[in-house]
Amino acid sequence: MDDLGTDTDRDLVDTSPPTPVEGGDDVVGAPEPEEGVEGPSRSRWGAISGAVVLLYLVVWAAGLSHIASRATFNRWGDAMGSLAARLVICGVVLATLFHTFDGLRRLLADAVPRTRARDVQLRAWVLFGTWAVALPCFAVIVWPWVAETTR
Amino acid sequence: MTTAEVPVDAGAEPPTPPTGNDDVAAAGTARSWSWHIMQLSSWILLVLLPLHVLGTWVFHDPGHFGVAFYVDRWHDGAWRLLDGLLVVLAFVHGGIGLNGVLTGRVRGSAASAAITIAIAVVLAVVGLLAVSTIGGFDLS
Repeated sequence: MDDLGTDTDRDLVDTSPPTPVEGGDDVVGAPEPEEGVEGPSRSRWGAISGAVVLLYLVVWAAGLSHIASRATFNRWGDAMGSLAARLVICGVVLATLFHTFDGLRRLLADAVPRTRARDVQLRAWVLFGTWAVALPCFAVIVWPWVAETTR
Repeated sequence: MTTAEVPVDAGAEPPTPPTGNDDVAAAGTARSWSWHIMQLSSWILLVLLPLHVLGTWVFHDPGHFGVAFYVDRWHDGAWRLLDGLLVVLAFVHGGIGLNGVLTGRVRGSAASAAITIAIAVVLAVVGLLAVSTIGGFDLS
């Protein structure tokens, strides 16, 4: 989790031009952009969080397709109450929030190009918004387990 | 599948490799169809995805997750529609994005094609199963 902030913080300091990948959200291994042409900057964590969200949705959708066998589905549902499952859900919530805020930043840069000049501030807002929503969500997700365990 | 721009006027020269930059559009290029799909799905998923994740795991205790949760939820047809739309849009959006990232890391068209087909097959199968379940689940 700390890495998320650390790497993005490094991105904030790094003023080198973004290196978009063909057809992708990521910047790894991409060709350098044309001189003087600058699109919305992309972040590695945007792609990683997107992959986490996609993996979650595939697992959720695959599980959902077994809802007709109610006993099996309810057994899986019971497992979601464990601490490990709640921590995994916290990770999914974090990835979702970061991908959403970072995606909004990029959509804004596409729709209103002059916002690209404020990319550093927008990245800071992405981090702030992500953690500002995620931390209360973590408390809400984990607290029932804590209350149950310490009762 | 690419989210980047492709030149409209190819002329005698080979197509310029897309860079994902957006100002290029103003200089005589057009966006690819996948770029438009990504943009459209992004704006819709901006609402749907947080709504789904918060509604499923935050506003309800994960310890009480089960069939009853979806029976309650899917009594409202709007939730069925939203869940189905989420699966379709997220899989299309995620598939195009993941394909762009992975194929950008491999050399050779055969490997790229294999990745594209694998992503498409997995997401299509899981997505169709989920959508048919969401639409056809008997609430009684």
